[in-house]
Amino acid sequence: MDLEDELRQAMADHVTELSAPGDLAAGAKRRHHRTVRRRAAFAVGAAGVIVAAGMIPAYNTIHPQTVGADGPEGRKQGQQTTRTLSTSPTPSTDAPSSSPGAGPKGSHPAGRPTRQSDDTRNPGLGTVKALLTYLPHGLTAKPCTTEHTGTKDTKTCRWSGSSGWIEVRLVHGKGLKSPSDLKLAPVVAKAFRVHGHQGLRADGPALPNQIMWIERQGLGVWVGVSPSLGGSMTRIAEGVNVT
Amino acid sequence: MAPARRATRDRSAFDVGFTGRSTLARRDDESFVKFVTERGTALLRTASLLCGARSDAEDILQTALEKAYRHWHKISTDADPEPYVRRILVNLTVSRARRWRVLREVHMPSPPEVPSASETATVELRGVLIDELRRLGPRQRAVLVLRYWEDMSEADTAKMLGCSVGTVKSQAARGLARLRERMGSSAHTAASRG
Repeated sequence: MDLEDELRQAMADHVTELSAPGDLAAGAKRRHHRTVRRRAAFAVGAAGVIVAAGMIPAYNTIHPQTVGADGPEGRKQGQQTTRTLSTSPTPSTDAPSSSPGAGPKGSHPAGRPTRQSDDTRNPGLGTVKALLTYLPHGLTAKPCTTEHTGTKDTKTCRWSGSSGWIEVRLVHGKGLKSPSDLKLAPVVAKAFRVHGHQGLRADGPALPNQIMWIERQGLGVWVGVSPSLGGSMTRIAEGVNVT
Repeated sequence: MAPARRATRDRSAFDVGFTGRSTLARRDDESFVKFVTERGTALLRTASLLCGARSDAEDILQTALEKAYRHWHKISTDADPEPYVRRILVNLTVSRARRWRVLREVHMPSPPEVPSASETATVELRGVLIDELRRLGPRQRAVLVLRYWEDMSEADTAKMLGCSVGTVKSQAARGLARLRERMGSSAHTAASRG
């Protein structure tokens, strides 16, 4: 017998006892249904994930207030703040009863307490939210100017009117640690405490009344007033609001 | 191999039988049960020879039947579904053998032969022949099973395996040569024992 016939015979001997189980067809059908169910479940799950992934950005688009801490109200407040902040100092609120009497009737709502805002986009000067919380009557704001000198940036804001003038300088420089570092103090300046910080003050008919202090390291404040407003200088300086 | 490509390969030998979306009569569940009842044993035997172990054979046959059942309604009532199922079976066996090549020893159907006092040397040699058949590669084994168990022609075998007739010839010749070689050494061993 050749090998092919021997192989045939061997294969026949090997499988002769085999017979298919009775539930072969049922088993195949059961497996098929199980596969279909598994695929359907997977498809539903995948579809759910896709829908959820698509719904989140869509929901955020429809309801932006749920995204961040700022809801619509917060956003409005932010917009108002942006509008309030302008490059020219504008008086706003505070201590209306403390204002002196009638001032000149100009274009400005004089006589009202002031809340001065300034441009927050100048990185060198920090954030100036409301520069003056007290502004005597009759003074109107002029546009602020910024000056760069060496390592210092100085922002100067000025208010003037019939009753006198006020000038506030915000000096930003890395080396500012004490009021004398501002290089603005006259020889006759005396120690003075303002805003809880150690500062310098000079009064005199020859020089404008002035107070200066270091609000924080790197940010100094200089406040000068005309002699006519010398009596209110402490209040004006205390009302400077720098954050 | 990707399932879509494999399904195409499974169908290609049986294209005539597939109705697709045509208006030809389609097979139903009842015909599936009837087919499995009639041809299940033959298919299980083929599967057993293809993969070597009865437990694996049943599992592979069930998988093949499940695949066939999935497309059963597409098979024309005029066509014989057996070549289609057999082709799925062969492809599954070859694929699984490739996948589990590393574990082939674990899936050996029986422990290694222990010298025993067999009644005749022929019976013993046939057992050795089956063992040697199992040790062949999956494709080579499939060629020998289809050619000498299913008695398929070289052309049909080539069509079933998706290869050329020349490949079938060479695979069959190499497989037989290997068996002959191993049989020779086994016969020599048996003769020296007996």
